[in-house]
Order: sequence, then C-alpha cells, then structure tokens
Amino acid sequence: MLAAATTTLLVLCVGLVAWGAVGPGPGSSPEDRPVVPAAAPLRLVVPSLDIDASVVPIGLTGDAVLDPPADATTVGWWDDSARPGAARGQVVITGHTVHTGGGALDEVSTTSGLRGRRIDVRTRAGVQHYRVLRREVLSREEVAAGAQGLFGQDRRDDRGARLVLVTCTDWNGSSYESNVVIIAEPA
Amino acid sequence: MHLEDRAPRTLVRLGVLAAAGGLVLLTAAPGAAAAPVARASATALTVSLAGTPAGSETYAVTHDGTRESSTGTRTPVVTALGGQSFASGSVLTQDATTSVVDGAGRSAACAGLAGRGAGVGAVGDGSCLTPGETLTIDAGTLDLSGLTIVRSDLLQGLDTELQDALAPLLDAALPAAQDGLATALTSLGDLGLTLDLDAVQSWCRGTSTSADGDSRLAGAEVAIAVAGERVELLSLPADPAPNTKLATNLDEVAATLTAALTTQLETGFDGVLAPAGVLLDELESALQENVLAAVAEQLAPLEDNLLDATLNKQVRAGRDSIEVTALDVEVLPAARQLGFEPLAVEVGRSTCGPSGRVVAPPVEQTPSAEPEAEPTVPTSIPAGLAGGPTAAPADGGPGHRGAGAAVAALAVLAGAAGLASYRRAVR
Repeated sequence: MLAAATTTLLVLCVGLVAWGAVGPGPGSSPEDRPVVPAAAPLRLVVPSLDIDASVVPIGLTGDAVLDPPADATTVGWWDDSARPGAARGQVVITGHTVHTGGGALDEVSTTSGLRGRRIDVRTRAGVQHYRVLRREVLSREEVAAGAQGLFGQDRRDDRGARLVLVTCTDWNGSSYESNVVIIAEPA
Repeated sequence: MHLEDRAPRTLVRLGVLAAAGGLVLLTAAPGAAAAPVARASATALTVSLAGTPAGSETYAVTHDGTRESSTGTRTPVVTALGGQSFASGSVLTQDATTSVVDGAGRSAACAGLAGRGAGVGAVGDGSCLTPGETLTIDAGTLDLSGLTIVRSDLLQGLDTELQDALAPLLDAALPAAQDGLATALTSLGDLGLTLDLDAVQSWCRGTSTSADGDSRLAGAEVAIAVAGERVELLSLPADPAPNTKLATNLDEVAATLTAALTTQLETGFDGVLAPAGVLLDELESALQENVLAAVAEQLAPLEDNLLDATLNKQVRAGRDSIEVTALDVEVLPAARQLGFEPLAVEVGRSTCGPSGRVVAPPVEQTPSAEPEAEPTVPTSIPAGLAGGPTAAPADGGPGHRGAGAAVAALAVLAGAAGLASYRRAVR
C-alpha cells in the first residue's frame, strides 16, 4: 500500500515538474530574462488582461494594408518590423478585436488606463518584457498620416526596439471606426 | 593510473588552458588597442649636465575613454643634481589630469619650481605655484685663468721707432703684463653665475579642438659675482610672450676686468719702461692698448653670448596639442671653452594633447554590410471583426484552457501507476 502511494506521488511530482519546465503559462516571472537576443516572436502575453495568444508572421498587402491573421485568437507580427530584443526599429503586432467576443485583443480594445502594464513577448531566445507607455485611439486617417512614426523601422532608442500593439475599437454597429495603438518600451 | 592515460588528459588540459588564455587576450585586445582620447604630462625640472639628463622625471596621464592611467609621480623629490644641492628646500610641482566630457577628451597640466615656502595649487586653474623664498640655482663658475699675454701681443701695431725702443725692454715688459693680468683676474674673485627665481612655472589646457598654455616667471634673474659683488646680468620678464629669446653677455665682467687690468699695467709698466726716456708715455700707452686688445679678443665669445635662454617656450604639434616650457636655458658652447660644463636647464615643462573623441561602439551588429532599405510601413490595419473567431488556436501549445485537462490526465496516470504498484505488491 505504501509502495502504491509512493509510486503515485512520484509520478505526480515528475509530471508536475515537467509541466512547470515546458509549460509557457501566463505566470512566467518578469525576471526570466530581462534582455534577450533579437528573435521572431512566438507568443504574446498580457497578464493583467488575461491575454495569451500565439504569434504568427504576417506581411503587407500591395496597398500597404496589414491584415491580422484570419484566426482571430492569434495575433500577427509584421515580418518587416523589428524582432523583439532588437536595438532599433519597432516591433509591430496586431490582432483582431471581435465584436461578439473571442478576439485575441478584445481586452485591449475596451480597456483604458493601461499605462505601466506589463506585456511579455516570448521568442525562441527567451521572453522580452515591455511596459506600456501609452494607449492611443486613432482614426483610419490619423493612422495613415502617422504611419511612418507609428510603424517606421528607422527609429532608434537607447532601450531598444519598442512594441507597437494594434487592434480596433469604436464599434459603430456595423464596423470598427478606429484603431487602438499600444506603445510599450522594453522593460 | 597508467602513463598512457595521462598523456591525452595532459594534452586536453593544455588545450583548454591555451583556449582560455586566447579568450582572455581577445577580451583584452580591444582595450589595449584603444587609442587614448586625452593625454597630458608635467616635468618640474630637468638638468642636463654634460649631455646626461636628470631631474624630477615626468608625470604623465592618459585617458582611454573609460578611465585615466598615469606614470611617474606628482610629488617629485630631487635632493641633488650634478653635485649641487639647489633643489634641496625647493618646491617642485608637476601635475596633469585628463577627462572626457560629452565624449571628447580634455587635458590639463602644470609644472614648475619655486623656493622654500611656496604654495602649490591645483592643476587646471592656470598657475599652480605661488612664490616662496628666492631659490638660487648655481649655473657654474667662470674660469678666466686661461687668458694669456704673449710676446706678439705686445708688438702688435707698434711703429719702427717704438719697436726699437721696446726691443731691449721686452723681456721685462712681457712678465709685467702677464703679472698685471693675473693680479687683475685675482681681484675679480670667483665668477659664480647664478639663476635666481621665486617661482617659475608653465601650464596648459587641451580639448579635442584646441590647446593653449602660458608661463610665469616670478623674481627670475641671471646674476654673476664679480669681485665679491653680485652683478645682475639679466632680469627675466614675469609674463613673457611665447618663445621670448634672451641672450646674456658678459659686458659687465669684461668692463670690470679691463678697469682692473688698466690699473695694474699702469703700475707695472712704470718701472719696467723707464729706460725708454722720452718715449716712455707713448710706449706705455701703446702696450696697454695692445694688452687690453689681446684680452678683449679672448673674451669675445663671452661678450657675444654666454647663456641662451628661451622663456615661455611653446611648441605645437597640432591645433589640439601644445608643449610649454617656462624657462629653457643653455650654456652656449663658447662659454664651455672658458670653464663651463655643458649645461642645460628646463624648468616647468607641461604638455597637453592631442585629444580625441570616444568612439561609440556599434549600436547593432548586422550580418550584412549593405544597409537594408526601410520597408514600406502599413497605412491601414483593419483589426476588427463583427463575428466570432473562425478557427481554433493554431499553435497547439498548452494554455490556460488546456491546463485542467492536462492535470486531470496526469492524475489518472499517477493513479494507474499506483494501482499497478499495489497489484505487484499483493502478488
């Protein structure tokens, strides 16, 4: 009987340890790796908004439109933008907000006062942490006019490439009228 | 352990050691190769006797953009140079500093010599010495014992009548002239040449675009002792213009010697030339003139120049580099024929620059040497949907939603393992 209990506990311990080692989980410590080499993003985590979405590379269409992945539960990383951990440029990630719910960035669309919140981007090289500097709501025209500043890759900062997270907001009953843009700097 | 087993292990250890050493050298190489961005040096005193320099040595500093390093000492002690103790009791200062401001190198230096009780200030504020008591440097003793009068000197320029009158008296007149010269020289005493100073110093400052410096000589004089009296040969200006050249002659010494010799000859020739009768005065005057001319000819080099001095000597190697020497004195070769040792004295030499800028490390390593063109930026991001998500999560990774199922599966697995273990124990 004792041997059976011991075996059960042993298997449980080994399994839980393995789970902790390989599971990404939103509970990853910010002290994981404060500085990581530049690498393509794999996962986006916003602990305070319970966001945990996989990241896939996406490109621009011919008319300079950046379409998020069709799968609304994933987010897209513009593959011409900086990789997390890079010294220059901007990491541009976008994801859908779905009016009926279930979009990867629904909470970003509806939550104001995000300044100071933590955002983690996991790559093959580790976790790059960011802190939100500001949240802006911009019309389509304002996004087009300020595109170079928002998404340009010639930007240099002592702290490294910042994160620009984009989704939609201002549901008018039939479509979204604005973009919400989160600017975050490496933490 | 077998001997053949040790050899490969030793080789492995040596290999690891060599690799580690190589890594250390590679790590140190960038620092070692880095050129200084600022440099400065200061030398209070250098005395070259017979071509052998001695003195306070040099305090030098360099800045590599990260830190400053130095060689030498800022507080030199020189007790004796060339057998003279002029530096004892004196105050020597030599200080230099470098820094980096806004990525650009800066330097400053100050060096000098002063008498006892002088005050020493900080480098970088211009002057760094306030005068104390007067310091006397012995520059040497003039030895004129080599001056001589020979027979031909007396006959120089005499007409036939005077030569005929002098002929029977020449053997007596020549010793009289020589004795008169020896007596005159004895009356001059030890001709000690000295450099007196209260404080002599130079300073400089340098940046990556310019360098400047200056000198100050307080209470600096060149003097000589004649017949026990101190005769000032030269008073050095306190704030000389850059590269002021001064030459010191011995007119005073020559005049004193001529006066003494004239007196001696008047007395000495009176008795010796009495037989010349009516030609006595004319012959005596001619001989005096000849003797004085012969002495003057031998003193000619000293009457032209004794010491060659440059005050506030400034040498530039570029617009951001300067060397300033407050006082550079050299005994000229002509004086060496008359007993002076080859002597050169440099007081207060400061150097600043050249300076540079700190080279910033590359911001980002790029595998390609070709700069990549900036991509076209998105001008529209339609990130809103009216309906629900159309697909399941694509990555398949364990997220929150799968956590409960995974733990449940693990619990089932653990239970099964426990049951199997129990059955085995029952059997």
